[in-house]
Amino acid sequence: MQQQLAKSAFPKWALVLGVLPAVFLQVTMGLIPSITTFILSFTDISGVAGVPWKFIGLDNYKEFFFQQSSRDLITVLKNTVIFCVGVTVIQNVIALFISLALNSKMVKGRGFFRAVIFLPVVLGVLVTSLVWLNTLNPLEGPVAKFIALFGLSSGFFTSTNSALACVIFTQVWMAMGYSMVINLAGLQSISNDLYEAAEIDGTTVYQKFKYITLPLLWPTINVNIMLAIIGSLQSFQVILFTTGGRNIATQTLSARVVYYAFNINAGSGIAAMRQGYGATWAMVLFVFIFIATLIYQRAVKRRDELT
Amino acid sequence: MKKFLAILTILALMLGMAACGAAPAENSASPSAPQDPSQNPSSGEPTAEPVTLRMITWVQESNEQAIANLNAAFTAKYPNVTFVVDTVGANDYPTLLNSRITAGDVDILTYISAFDTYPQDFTRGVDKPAWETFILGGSYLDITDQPFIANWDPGMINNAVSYKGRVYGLDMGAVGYNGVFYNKTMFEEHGFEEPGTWAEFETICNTLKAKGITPITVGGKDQWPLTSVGVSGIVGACEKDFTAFAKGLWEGTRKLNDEQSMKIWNRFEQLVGWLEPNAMAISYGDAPGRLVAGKAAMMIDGTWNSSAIEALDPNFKYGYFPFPGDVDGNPNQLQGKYDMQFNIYAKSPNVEWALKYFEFLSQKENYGPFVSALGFFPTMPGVESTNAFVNSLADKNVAFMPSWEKNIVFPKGVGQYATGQLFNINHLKALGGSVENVKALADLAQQDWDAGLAAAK
Repeated sequence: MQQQLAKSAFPKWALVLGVLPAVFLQVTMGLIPSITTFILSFTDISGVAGVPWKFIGLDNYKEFFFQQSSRDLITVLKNTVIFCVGVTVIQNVIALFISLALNSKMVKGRGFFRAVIFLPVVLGVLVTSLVWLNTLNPLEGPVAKFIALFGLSSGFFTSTNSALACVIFTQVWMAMGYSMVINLAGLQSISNDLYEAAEIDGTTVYQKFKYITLPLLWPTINVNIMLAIIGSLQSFQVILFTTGGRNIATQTLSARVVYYAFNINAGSGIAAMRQGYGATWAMVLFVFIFIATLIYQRAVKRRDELT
Repeated sequence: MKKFLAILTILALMLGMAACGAAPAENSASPSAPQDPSQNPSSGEPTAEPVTLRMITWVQESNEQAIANLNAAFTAKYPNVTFVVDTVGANDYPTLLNSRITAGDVDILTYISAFDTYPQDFTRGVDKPAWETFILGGSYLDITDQPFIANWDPGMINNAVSYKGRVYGLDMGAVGYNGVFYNKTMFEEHGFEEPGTWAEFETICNTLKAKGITPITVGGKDQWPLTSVGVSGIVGACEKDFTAFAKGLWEGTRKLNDEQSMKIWNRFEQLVGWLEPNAMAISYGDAPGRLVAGKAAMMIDGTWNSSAIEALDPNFKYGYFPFPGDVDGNPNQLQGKYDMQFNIYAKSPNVEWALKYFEFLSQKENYGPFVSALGFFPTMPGVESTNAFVNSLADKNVAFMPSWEKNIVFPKGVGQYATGQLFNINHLKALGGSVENVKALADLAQQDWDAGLAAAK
């Protein structure tokens, strides 16, 4: 590394200066808040300016593990896993097929379709949530009216049975365009020469996909999967805008962090904010994301070793 | 290089910590000794410096309109003062309240009720209510010594806006929320009168249903219209002494699945059967429209929402009656709470003008039209509401008492089935939940309650 620096066209101080803004932002916007959150998880800070607070040792962690309803905690953890796995798998599988289709020269108007599929990313979480709230409105929504033709009905976002599935669907709809764009970038970096050589060898479409596209796209898919895992574990916005998180059926770890830290959905009772306890939930979420990422990385490493 | 990076890191950390620890600027004005802001101390002439008072409240058509009228009257008297009123839905209001107080970006705050749901001597392990943290944090201005306090009902001052002998706000009036609005025309057509007993209520609902008319609608999407208003109504009709019931639950002498409680649960089961299909998809704001449009004959709501009905159709004939009990109590009595409270943000740079606003509001000629527009029962002696609907409830407001909601607090960490007002009927399968029937739900609620009590030890 030092040799590389010595060979660089720039002096050392210029290189350091170059990375300084990024380091500064990472430290002030990432590292310090993270460390502060960890420290706050040992306090009873409410979050309201001026209210006295103190260190309370492990009380928040005791409350998390022993003084809350274990049934509710298990439900929240289960929801978190279902939401994460559901979003990651569905989003990436659909995004892969769409990107393969839209990378093919046989599809006319590829640019238009790419733009349409990417549109929810641009529209953002609020608009996307409203679109699906209206579309899946159990009273007047078009989907409710359509399934009523077959004698069916559903509460969609308002029913315990279907709410989480609807939230996963909305999240996938919103984020799929992002995965598609990354996949397309990966697909376009695969040289056409490989496909031409394969065609000369008489390979089928499936063989081309299996032996050329998939192995070469795998690093890109990996990035997409990692982003989806971390993104879905951190995501609370779709839950907030669709079900409001009022129904425990759609509460995840991140939704609970927001609930305690910022009093989201406190309802008419208006309990005080508990940012210290919210920070405890955030630390648990951090451990959850860390473990999930670790498991996935080990699985990928194992797969790479086998192949 | 290592030293250089270390110094930079320390600097960055210090900067971040400083930013995190930055406290809002203290107001230099002394809130305890306000000057008349309309008077220039040196000349005695009114100052003409423009002032914008920032207010926050929740979305409720009648409240917003009443506040707008009050503010317009204040501006007419003090033309240099204008207002910015920000609103969000009731469910999101706690977030707005917290964030604005934390940011110091507000002058006058409204609060959804009085200083209530406070831990009792028989409770333990209960979260502090938000209002208490605001007082402890010095966010609410202490207005105990203001002369205008004397204009208000001492009962309201003592019970609704006082904490440890000090006064921190003004409450705008009382409301009832243990019943339903009903379509008078529809009732007349079917020969119904306001029910005095549950049996009569049952007959009305079953008859309507048999005729293909949905008996009741509710803004279930927001949950609280059902789990707060509906529950307050049914529990209010079945239990005589709320404090004894709450104490019994805390001390284990009452259960959420005992015989007496099951009577309440069974009434909920009946009630659910009379609700509009997919009631949990109807937002609170849409429910009055469904009543006015004739999609249901009754609507579970609080008395505060009459103006929303009138705004939709001024000719719509409606009334309000509390959920009845077993004994004919016609007219059954309202139960409710002190509603909208006004507070002054203590660190506001406009404290003097905010106090002037409170003084203005404390005059009968200003409070009278305001409380009439709100549709609340007045909390200022000598003020009569001109609101026809409020006055029509006079015979139901003879023995007004705090609702069940204002008597029950639950231990920290209690499970989902025993939070809020303990009868969380939204978990029933018929309302999109996962619990098959009220017996199973009552057992789950008691399990969660027991676990919560055990953890609170």
